[in-house]
Amino acid sequence: MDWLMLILGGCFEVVGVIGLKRTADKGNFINYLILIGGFIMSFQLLVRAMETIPLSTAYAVWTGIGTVGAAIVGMVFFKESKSRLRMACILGIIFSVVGLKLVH
Amino acid sequence: MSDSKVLTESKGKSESSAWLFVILAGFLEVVWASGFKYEEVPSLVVLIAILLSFDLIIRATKVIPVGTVYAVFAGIGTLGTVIVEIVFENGSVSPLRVALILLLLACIIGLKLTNKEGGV
Repeated sequence: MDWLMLILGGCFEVVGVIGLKRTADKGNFINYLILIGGFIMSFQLLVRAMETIPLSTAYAVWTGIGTVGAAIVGMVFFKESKSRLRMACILGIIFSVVGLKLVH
Repeated sequence: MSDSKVLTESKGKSESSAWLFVILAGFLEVVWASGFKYEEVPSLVVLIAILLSFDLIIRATKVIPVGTVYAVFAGIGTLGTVIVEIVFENGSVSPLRVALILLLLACIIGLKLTNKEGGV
């Protein structure tokens, strides 16, 4: 359950980061709501996950999932680069997250 | 983006203060992330650190591309939490775990810095 919470927390971080980008562009109510709502949910799940997962592992996995998620959203919806290097980085993050889960 | 003269002239100054904001936000991030795990960090400190770090990140994102900001922000947070954990757990952190975290960090920075379109 702790790892599921952590991965879900990373997914909500993506919502928060989208809100962050939108707030930086235009600071209206909806964008702040996406930013704050996304991060509140994300933090709740991160705190729960940290009850059993060590600080550095939980933090790294949480931010890694958030980064991969934001990159995928960017590639699909915002025409970001889909270069081989970026794909290799995504695979590298997934590999490290699985590795961290296995050594836990 | 408007390329007015005023913007160009003030760019250098605002960019260096934006970098200062990113670094400060990164340190505050280590404070709140540690607060999530360790009760030694008071809740009020965690709350203030979260609000301040996000305010600084939003200010920095207005000047520096968000991908670059987040790569540095996540880098400070990841290394900082490893250091905090080593200190709190009296050094009993497995080298394999640290190696995997560093690999994860390298991939995060790579992914963020190759984002040329300035999306999310």
